[in-house]
Amino acid sequence: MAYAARRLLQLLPLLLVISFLTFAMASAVPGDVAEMMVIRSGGQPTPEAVAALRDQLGLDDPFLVRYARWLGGLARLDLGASWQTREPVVAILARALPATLWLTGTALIVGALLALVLGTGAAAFANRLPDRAALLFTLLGKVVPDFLLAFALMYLLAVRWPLLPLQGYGTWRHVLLPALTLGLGVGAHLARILRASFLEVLGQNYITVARAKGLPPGTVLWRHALRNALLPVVTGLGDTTGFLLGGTVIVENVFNWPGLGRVALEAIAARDLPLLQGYTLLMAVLVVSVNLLVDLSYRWLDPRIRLEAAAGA
Amino acid sequence: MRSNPSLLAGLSLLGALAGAALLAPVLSPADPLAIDPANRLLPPGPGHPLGTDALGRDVLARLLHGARLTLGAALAVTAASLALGTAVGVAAGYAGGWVDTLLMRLVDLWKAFPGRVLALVLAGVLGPGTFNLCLALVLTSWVACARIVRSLTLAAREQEYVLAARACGRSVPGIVVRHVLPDVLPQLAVVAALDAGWTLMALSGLSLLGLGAQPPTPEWGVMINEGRSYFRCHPHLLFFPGLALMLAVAGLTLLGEGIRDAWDPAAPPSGLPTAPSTARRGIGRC
Repeated sequence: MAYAARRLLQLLPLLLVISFLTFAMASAVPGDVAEMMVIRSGGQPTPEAVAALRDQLGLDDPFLVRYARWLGGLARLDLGASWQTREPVVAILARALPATLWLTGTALIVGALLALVLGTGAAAFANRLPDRAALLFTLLGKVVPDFLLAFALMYLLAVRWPLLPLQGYGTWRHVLLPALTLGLGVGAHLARILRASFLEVLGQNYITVARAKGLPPGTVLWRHALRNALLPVVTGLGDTTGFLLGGTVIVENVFNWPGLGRVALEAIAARDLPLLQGYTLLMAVLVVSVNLLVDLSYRWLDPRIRLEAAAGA
Repeated sequence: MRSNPSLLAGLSLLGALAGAALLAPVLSPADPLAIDPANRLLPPGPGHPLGTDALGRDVLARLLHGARLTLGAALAVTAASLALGTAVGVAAGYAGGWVDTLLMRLVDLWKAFPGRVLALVLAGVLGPGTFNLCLALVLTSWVACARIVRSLTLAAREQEYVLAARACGRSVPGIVVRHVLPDVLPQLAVVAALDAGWTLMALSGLSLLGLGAQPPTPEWGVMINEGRSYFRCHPHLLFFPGLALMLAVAGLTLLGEGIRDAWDPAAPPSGLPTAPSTARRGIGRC
């Protein structure tokens, strides 16, 4: 518990630096933002109108003043209002978050199941046909970009054999195609990790003992080896978060899914800086918190680490 | 070479693609920008080996000319991010101390953002265009290289010949250039090949979203984006640029694994990782 609290405290400075980087990145946008906004709202960019808007948005203040103001708002969970719709950024993000979590969560389940089947199969039949087939699949998963996989799945499962809806949002049938698109990549990645760690575990003495006792191979594999083999997979889940969140941008666009990726693209198209800052910050916070959870669960899952830490303390 | 099929396959794939890109003006059956409304959306056939797109432009011609921009941009991005990453990694690894701490904190910070999200936001902030997209990708992908180069440099620094060079009174830049870099660079080739594959996918993906080259420029991501609207009835508009992209990524992946096998014959062949640490690379930065 003390460890978890310490890790949470260490997170604060990291989040502060992340927020600074996010703000600095979005502030580096070239051109006069106020002028673009006046034109977009249908007005003529007269010097007076532009100056008034710059003043209203506080764009003339020094960089650090603007950052401090933004950070002050952040402490109250206020990330400002979207320049485009005048709606609070937090509200827009909160509305889009469930759709993205639904998509990435389903993709994670698809990927985990796939990894379990492929990784276990490949390790149980190491260097034989099932292993080769699984390797081919994981290599394909690395080589095929997710947007092409998306089009291929759409063509096969929604156009050629219309089993699932092509695009859109609403029912569990809508989530399957985009989740499959993201999940196949995740599964390919995790399966490789699981195969490798399985082979390592299967070479250990306690497995030899279990086999020598005459336990059936299935029991050895599932009850004795799997638990330990899964540990590196948990670490792999940390990488997976970044992969999934990065993938949502394109996959949500292709499948017309109303999640955070689409919010980001709209913010970019409209040069909506507060919204883009909010999105970037949320992404980093999600990645950092998942990595923290992975670290903590790792200690909980693997007693050896806890004992080492206790002995070291 | 014969005992290393990955290397051979990767090199021949990439060689064929590079040859097609270089010889595009000679091989191309038509002008990639010539619009021909009478012959739009033709399926592959005589006259247009890969068919025509919605404006009647020849798909093969656009694919060949697109290879120049797409592959050239990916190459440039990889080279630039390797240069930046190597500079940071060698500086951190060789200097040590607070320089190392500071640079590695920066790398950790960068890692908090998913690679493609960071590239998307940077490209969005810089504005659409090939150069801006490439810049965004360089700024995203240097970190992975920096981290690897740092660990390689740390190992190289303790080698006896480096100590000897230091004892002889050579300057630090001299030692780095003459003794540390040659030790680090061959291993970087593997990283570079895999990195180029990631870059190629991110480049096409973001240019598919309209952040890279703009129509009517022939570029693979642009072609995929233009083909999207017609993929129900004219899947060939998506299939050919998609296939070209996958072949290029596959070539780079095979090349990377081939170089790894050639470099370290003790390692298992063709990407069968034995330890989780080697398996972790690949997806982490996407």
